[in-house]
Amino acid sequence: MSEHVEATLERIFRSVLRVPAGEDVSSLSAESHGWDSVAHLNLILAVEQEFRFMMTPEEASAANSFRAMLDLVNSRR
Amino acid sequence: MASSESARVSQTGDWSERLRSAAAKLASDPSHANAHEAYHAGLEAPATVDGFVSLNCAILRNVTVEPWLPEVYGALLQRGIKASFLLGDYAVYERYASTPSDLGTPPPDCFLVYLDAGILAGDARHDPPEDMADALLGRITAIVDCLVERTSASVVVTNLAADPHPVHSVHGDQDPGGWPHLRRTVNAGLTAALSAEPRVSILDMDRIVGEYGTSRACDTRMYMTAASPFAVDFLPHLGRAFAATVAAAVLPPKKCVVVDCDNTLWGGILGEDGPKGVAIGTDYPGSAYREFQLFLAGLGRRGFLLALNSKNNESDVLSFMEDCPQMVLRPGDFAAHRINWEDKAANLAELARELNLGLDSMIFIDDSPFECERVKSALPEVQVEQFPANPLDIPRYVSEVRGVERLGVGEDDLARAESIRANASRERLRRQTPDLDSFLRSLSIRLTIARQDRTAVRRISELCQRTNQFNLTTIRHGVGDIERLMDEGVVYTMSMRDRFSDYGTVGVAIVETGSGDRWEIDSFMLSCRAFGRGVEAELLHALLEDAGAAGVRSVGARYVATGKNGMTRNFFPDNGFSVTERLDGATRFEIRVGAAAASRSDGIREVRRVGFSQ
Repeated sequence: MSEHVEATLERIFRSVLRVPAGEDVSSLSAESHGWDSVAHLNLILAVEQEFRFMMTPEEASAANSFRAMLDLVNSRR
Repeated sequence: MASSESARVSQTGDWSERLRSAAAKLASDPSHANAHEAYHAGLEAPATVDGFVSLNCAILRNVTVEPWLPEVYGALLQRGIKASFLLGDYAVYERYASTPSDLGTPPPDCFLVYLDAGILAGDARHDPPEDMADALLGRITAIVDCLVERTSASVVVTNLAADPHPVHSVHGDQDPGGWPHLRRTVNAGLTAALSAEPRVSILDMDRIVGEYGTSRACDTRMYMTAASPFAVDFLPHLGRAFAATVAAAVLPPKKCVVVDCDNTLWGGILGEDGPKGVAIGTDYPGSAYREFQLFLAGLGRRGFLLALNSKNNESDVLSFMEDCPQMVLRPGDFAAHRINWEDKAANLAELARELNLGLDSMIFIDDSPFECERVKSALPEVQVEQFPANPLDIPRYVSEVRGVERLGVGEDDLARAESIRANASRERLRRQTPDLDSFLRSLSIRLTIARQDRTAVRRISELCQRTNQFNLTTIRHGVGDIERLMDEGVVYTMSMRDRFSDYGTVGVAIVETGSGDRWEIDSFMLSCRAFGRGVEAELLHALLEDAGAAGVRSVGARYVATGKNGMTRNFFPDNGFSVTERLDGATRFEIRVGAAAASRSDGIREVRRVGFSQ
């Protein structure tokens, strides 16, 4: 089940952050190239839409890496 | 040289396909992630792509609009526009209006001005000063006036939607100076001030948010933390609304709406149900079709030309439209018509020539997926808008039909439409059939022709009762008659399916076998759902081959005129039968078995026979 979540999350990150196939997604963070404040907003919206939950502003700003986002999604399911 | 040229063409061809499929994927699953995929595919595409209009669109805004861009981009793609966006810094939109060159090059083709009401009005929302409506209106119109004066671009300006951060209206809803009323006052003022300017379009954001529901459309959390007003699920609606207005502002306007009659202008089938049996009027479901006619009448008043393209008997349709008291549109409201049994794509091409219009300025509306697909594949320039099958869906359809948003129709357009309507030439134009067979092949039509299928007796009798147009003798056999005819003769049924649907039993032929060496066709009919595909010839062919296998020498047939079945008058002679006798209102025919085959279309994918001897 959680592998399915990770794969879905990976697809969202690839679409929103424009990560080419073959490049690693799991190590991405807000420090990475292309992950600016607009991209962060887009990620939050896409993740919330896919998994049908709302983050608090605090959760949204703490979800600043792929791993942190994955943990947050898993904790809300 | 030649080879590098063709390589380049095929590459842009690939991009058209990629963009089209990204748009289609987004249309079927409008998620934010899919919108990004379409957007990013577009960012990688070359500056110009075959089949898409490139549009450079600048956005002046006072909020974070970046999350909308993928949805707006995707909706524009679906309308054949490949956009690139130029975003100004969000606090200084007024500077960009006064000095558009600060936005960089190339100069935009279109400016989109989006101002959030709450941020525009600021703290004063809580206790608006008396002149606030005028002040806000002045600020917005000043921006638009600058853009009109200093650029040659189209300008789309949104009015003020309810924002996600409502204020307490101290004096309640009746307070004319309170913020909710004031916002609407500004909107009314915008319409009054800008409607006459041909290069400016107002996008009624207040309506769009209202239709979706303010509380669902807004995301207070993102508004307060990131100045981003809207919830992610609202973005596809926003995208479609922006794209509709932008497309109307920048694309060449449509000029003519061509409509089908049966199940489009009215409910039911005139040729089958008769003038009293079809639905049009003030009671449901006729009221839904009336709504559509009122919509078309409005388009006519705004300068659109209307035309008819229907498979029907011309005189039936014209006299019904003239005489029916409930009809909103009369024959005179249409600039031209093709009411016949020809291919609708060929009819459309003729209508375009008669009205002297380009195919790309025409919209075609028909309820049949078959006809819509036929026109799309034969005439890709025509915009096809499939009409809903369910009358309850008509009002929504009418409010969303694309391409008729043309704003500010000038006096010239109205005069021109009037003169075309008055002078529309009725000359018979050379028939142009854009390769019907290859279209039929693309449908993968599969027929099953069954002999003596006793499970179908009820359906056969129903077809005998109901079929009026393609019915050679119109004998109304009941269930008992069919059973007897199966015992004493041969009954053939034909069912049809294609890649759109399974149509069930669509054709029946009944033969009296008599003494054995001469057969007589008692009944031959085809449901109107199967017209225009050439499948009737397959049924006749199967019958004649079966007669040959049974050692029959000749087959007789007759046509009995009823006033509704004129389309079948020449069916037997067209298929190799010769006339043996002309009577009052009826004609007898005969064919020597094995002499000549029926003229068959090669567009049928497969014909399966069930219950035949070989």
